[in-house]
Amino acid sequence: MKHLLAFTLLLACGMELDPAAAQDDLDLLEQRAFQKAIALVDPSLVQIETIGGLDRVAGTIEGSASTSGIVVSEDGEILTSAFAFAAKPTSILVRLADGRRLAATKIATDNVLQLTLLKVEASGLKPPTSTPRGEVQVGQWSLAVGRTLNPDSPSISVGIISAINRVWGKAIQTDAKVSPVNYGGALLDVAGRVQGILVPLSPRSADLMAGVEWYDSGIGFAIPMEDAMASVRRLRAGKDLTRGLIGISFSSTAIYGQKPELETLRYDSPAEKAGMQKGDVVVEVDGKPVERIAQVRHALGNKYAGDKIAIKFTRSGKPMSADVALVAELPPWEPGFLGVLPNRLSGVENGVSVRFVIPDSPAASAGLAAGDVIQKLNGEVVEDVGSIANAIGRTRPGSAVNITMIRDGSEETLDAELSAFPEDTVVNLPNPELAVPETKPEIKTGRFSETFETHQHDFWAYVPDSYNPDLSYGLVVWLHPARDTMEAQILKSWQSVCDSRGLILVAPKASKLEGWNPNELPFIKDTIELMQSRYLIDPQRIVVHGQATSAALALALTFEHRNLIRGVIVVGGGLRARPPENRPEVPLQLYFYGGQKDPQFPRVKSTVAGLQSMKYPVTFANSPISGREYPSSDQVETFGRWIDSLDRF
Amino acid sequence: MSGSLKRLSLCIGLLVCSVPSTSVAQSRIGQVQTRIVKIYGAGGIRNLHSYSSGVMIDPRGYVMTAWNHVLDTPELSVVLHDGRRFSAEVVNAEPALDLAVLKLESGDETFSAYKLADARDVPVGTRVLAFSNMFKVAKGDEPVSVVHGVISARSKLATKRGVSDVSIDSELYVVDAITNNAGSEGGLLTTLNGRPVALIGRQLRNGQTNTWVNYAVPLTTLRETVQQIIEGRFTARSTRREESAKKNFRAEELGLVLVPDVVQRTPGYVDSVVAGSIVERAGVQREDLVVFVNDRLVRSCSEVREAIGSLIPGRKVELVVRRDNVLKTFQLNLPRKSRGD
Repeated sequence: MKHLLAFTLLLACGMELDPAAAQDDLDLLEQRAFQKAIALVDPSLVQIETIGGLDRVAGTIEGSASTSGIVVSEDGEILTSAFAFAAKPTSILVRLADGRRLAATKIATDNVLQLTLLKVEASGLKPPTSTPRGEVQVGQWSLAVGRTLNPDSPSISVGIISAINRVWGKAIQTDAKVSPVNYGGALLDVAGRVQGILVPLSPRSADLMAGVEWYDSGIGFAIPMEDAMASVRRLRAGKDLTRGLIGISFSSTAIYGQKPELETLRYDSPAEKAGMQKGDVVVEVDGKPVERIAQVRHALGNKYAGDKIAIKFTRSGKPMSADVALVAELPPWEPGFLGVLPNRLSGVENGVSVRFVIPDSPAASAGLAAGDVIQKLNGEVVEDVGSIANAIGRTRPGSAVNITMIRDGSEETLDAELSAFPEDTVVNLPNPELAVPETKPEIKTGRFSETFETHQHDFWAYVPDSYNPDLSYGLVVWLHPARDTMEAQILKSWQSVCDSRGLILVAPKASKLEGWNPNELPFIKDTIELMQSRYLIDPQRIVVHGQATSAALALALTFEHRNLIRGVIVVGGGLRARPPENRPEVPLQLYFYGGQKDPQFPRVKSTVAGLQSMKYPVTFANSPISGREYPSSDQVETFGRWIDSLDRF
Repeated sequence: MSGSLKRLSLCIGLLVCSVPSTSVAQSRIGQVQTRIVKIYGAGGIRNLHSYSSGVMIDPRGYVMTAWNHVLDTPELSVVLHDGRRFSAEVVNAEPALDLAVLKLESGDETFSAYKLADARDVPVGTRVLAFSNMFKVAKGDEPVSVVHGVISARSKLATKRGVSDVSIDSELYVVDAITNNAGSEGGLLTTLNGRPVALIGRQLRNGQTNTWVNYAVPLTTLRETVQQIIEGRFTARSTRREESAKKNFRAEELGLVLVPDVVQRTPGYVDSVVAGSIVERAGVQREDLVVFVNDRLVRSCSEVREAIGSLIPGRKVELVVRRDNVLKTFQLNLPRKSRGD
């Protein structure tokens, strides 16, 4: 301390005398301060070496075999960056500043702050002094030190604090060179106190290797020592820490501009369980007032699974609050399934009339039959198809339900155990009853072409000649592949299916034959709405259909307009990116058709597997030919049957 | 305590901000730059640059530089700070130190030069300046570029085996600035007041971390050789360190049977010890993990074999193994070997 005061005085005197001489002194005094800082932290810095493990991690830089660490307790606890353990080494050794080599064991890893706690059998070790959080300020000297290069003396890189509260509030940023040479080492102030522990981080990704690409670039990060020590206290229990999830998303992507209004709540998520709803506006997280979406992310970014946080929000202006227990993983919504197709034209005032009971389904096992009228589910009155479909869908497979129904005029109850949504199409589904109207309505039917004036785009359509305005129809939106509208073939394949299953076919055309342009999505959507305004379309049976080069477009349209589209049929194509989660408010069913000789087949298979793991109801049919052809009329018949069963629950 | 510390750091912060250039450095930079030369030679193909840097180390026109591909041509030319251009030839080189000395074809002219006797070693944390013609941005009479940094470490470097070796088997300086760029090799590292410290090396990756490393060779390591070259009494040491896999011992000869080496990084676990062998007598057991052979960390079965291979018959060896969570050290006396063994 005395030394430092003298230091300050010297600087002051120097300045008054001769600026050049003062600078001389300053340069050398600073240099001395750097060297003294290293000497101060030296006993607390260790070298860590790993043996065994993977050769390569994430295909980039090999997990370093050596790294640095900081002593955090006298009895041998050592904190380091999780980076070195990405290669999952089989054995860890620690070399202390005094040259002693010790075997280390891994206690636990904090996956939020990317820190790993190690333990060696030792006593009398010297944890460093740390800089109180409030004293870390932008512009101060910061020295990045590590023990990776040379076990006999620490390495140093000199810089300044570039920013604090970086990467969602996690880290101090420095322009000192931070790299695998000092990850796990310390960021020091000029007095030799530890400001933080050096780790690779990236604001864009929470991966273990994220941020390594920024090594030595002048952008380096350190976890503030207070936060690191708070993490150490939890890691001591020996359990890895993971990020706490709440399960909400917001109505806007303008995270810095918009208020945090909830758009979706993940099914069964902590937020939903705590009673939060769509439209709620978050105003406070854990005592911190928030006005923007980014502030909510900041406040939640450093929370761990298992943490309980207090959230205040307003619902229609009314203040409310909830205690939310964060979780490590949000399970996907997996719809429950009873096995009933409702009668669309029941004429039943109360309850839901059963059109068809799917064979081998829970409903079939429970003894439900066509013609029964469901009155109650678990004692609650069933208002309409929408309410029972929603209630069944939101109940997990395996749950027991109790159904009250009327059969032949008398009330009966039965119990069923819901299953998962079946992957197969319903085999013996009879055609729906489609009464022919007494007088032919004055509306276009048959095959016709039109220009959509607003969009200066053409489309063609097929409406069964027997169109009855008292019935509701399914809508198939055919998106042709590049360079071929396939108009004749599609009409031929679908005409009879449309007639028998009660479907309307509409086929927007790309403005250029070479293929679709993403700007044409609004035109397609408006075409669907145009058909809805003219014909009576069942919102449960709007299906988009694409093949090969239009497959991606069909999927993009579907996932963009979840509230409009309920099904998608894809031939020879798949997803390029992970789709959004499956949500009970906007149920979606998907049908994929492909074959091994199609180069796109691996993508088809991986898309199907991916969607299945996300618990989407997915059906897959293997092509008997190559998979590149348009499916046979039998297969199209199956598509039609599948569409006719989209309102099953 | 904390109050005055804060004042201190504020004070430093202010000074740094308000005085944009360091005057010590400023006054000496011009002087240093007159002694750094630009070298043009071979290269230009396969992304090899054809230029580098050098340091005038004798008034008669001797230039010290890094030994690399640029020198591999009879048409070497050297451009001084004032724009004068001379042909030059390589007097001699010491590949073991990555060092070459050139002589300008300059007749009786004398030049401003460094005395290598002035060079000295500096501790880690020392602020330094690096002078070089990186990316050949300096043309003609333009002075070479200078960047500042701090001595980050003084260490031997484990370089990426098989890819690009630092052939120097002594301690090097590592700098915390990006000093090693195309054309920087042969440039000079000095203290802030211009005292020469080290010769800037090539662009290399550090084998320990697989990241680019900015290193320079201490002049105290080089100067004896430079002197010998200038005085014409130099004979090169072994061209390159030839540490081809020696096979003095096989692990099994010592009684050590390692687990099958199935993946590249199979750790050196002991599968069994041969009854009655020196390893068994020393106390090594099945399932021990061999972690050090003498002072060398061995990370895999193949490294254990390699380390044992280079042991010298008749000497003592220290074997460190990890058994559960403790490290155990064993001393072994290696057997002597007769010729033809």
